[in-house]
Amino acid sequence: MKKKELGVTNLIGVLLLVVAVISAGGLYYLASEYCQISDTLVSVETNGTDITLFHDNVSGQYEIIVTLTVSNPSELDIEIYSIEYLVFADKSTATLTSNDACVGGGSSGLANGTVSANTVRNLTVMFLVGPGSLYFERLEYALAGGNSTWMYLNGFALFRLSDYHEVDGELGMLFYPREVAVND
Amino acid sequence: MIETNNLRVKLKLTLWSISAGTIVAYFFATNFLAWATEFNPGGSVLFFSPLMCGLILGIITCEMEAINTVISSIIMTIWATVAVLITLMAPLIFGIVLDPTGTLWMIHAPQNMLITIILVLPISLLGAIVGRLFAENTILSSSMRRERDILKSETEEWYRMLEEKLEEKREELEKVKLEQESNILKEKSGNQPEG
Repeated sequence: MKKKELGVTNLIGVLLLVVAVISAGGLYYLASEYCQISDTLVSVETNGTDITLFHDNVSGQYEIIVTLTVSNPSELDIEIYSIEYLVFADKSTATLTSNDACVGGGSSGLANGTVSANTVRNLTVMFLVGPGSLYFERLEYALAGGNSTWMYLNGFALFRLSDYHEVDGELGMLFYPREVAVND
Repeated sequence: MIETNNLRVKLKLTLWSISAGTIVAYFFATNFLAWATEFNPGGSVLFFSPLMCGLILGIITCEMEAINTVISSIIMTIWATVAVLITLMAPLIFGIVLDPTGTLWMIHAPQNMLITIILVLPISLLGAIVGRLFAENTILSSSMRRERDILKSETEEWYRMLEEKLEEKREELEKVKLEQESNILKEKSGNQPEG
């Protein structure tokens, strides 16, 4: 009779154990998901790889096209949805990073900034500098005189994880100063 | 009714407490990481999961001594806290990154630990006590009733057997008495003078 009574509590205990095993599986899944998210947040990198300057002779405005190389070695897709930037241009690298050399800034949205897992993708972002603005005058100054013109971009890219839309990240962009020529 | 096999009791108690702690840890960790995983079972599970697990612990420890119910709640709280900590620190443990959000380790992890301890221990203890009381009034009372019926029938059987034995003894005594009486009569008739 005692054996039968113990069976009731043992049965509940075994059921508790089964649910605990399922919960442990859930915890493991949760931890692995969190690891993947963390890995993505820290392993994604972006670097500016090219900068091209175009001049529209009709409108007079300058187009600055920046190529960004985004490297995503993680297991999750990311989606770069905005680039926050400041563009600098000057005649020499010594004064390039000063505020007086800033020729543009703001944010630029990306329509398709998805970078799949374990891939490297080039994204191009275009900035316009129109005539009549302070930025335009600075750019004209940097380009005048026939000397070399140096450009430099500073900023960060905002991205979110494609599978986890609540998770946002920021990527600091590294873009070393480089010499540019105007393409008409 | 109370289990006294020490090692077996300890093993069962530890296993069940860890099981309950794992279940509670799953709900807590899911809540704490809801910002990332977009799966949130709701804040109410922070209350209900330790209560229900404590209730079940109370029921399954009803055959043990009362102190074991309290111990099981404490083990459950410790294990739940450890499991939540392991889950939250998984990126660090697996060597990926110290702190993906920049604030998790310094602010959120200790807060989450405190919430786990503060909520799980009293609520699970309350659930365990209620569960034990419930079990004592249902599972144990019915089993005790059955045990009493068995004892009653066994006692009745013993009485019946005793009656039978007494009857046999009585008959034997009767026989012995009759024999003794007949012997006395024989002796008396043998001692009487002839003629």
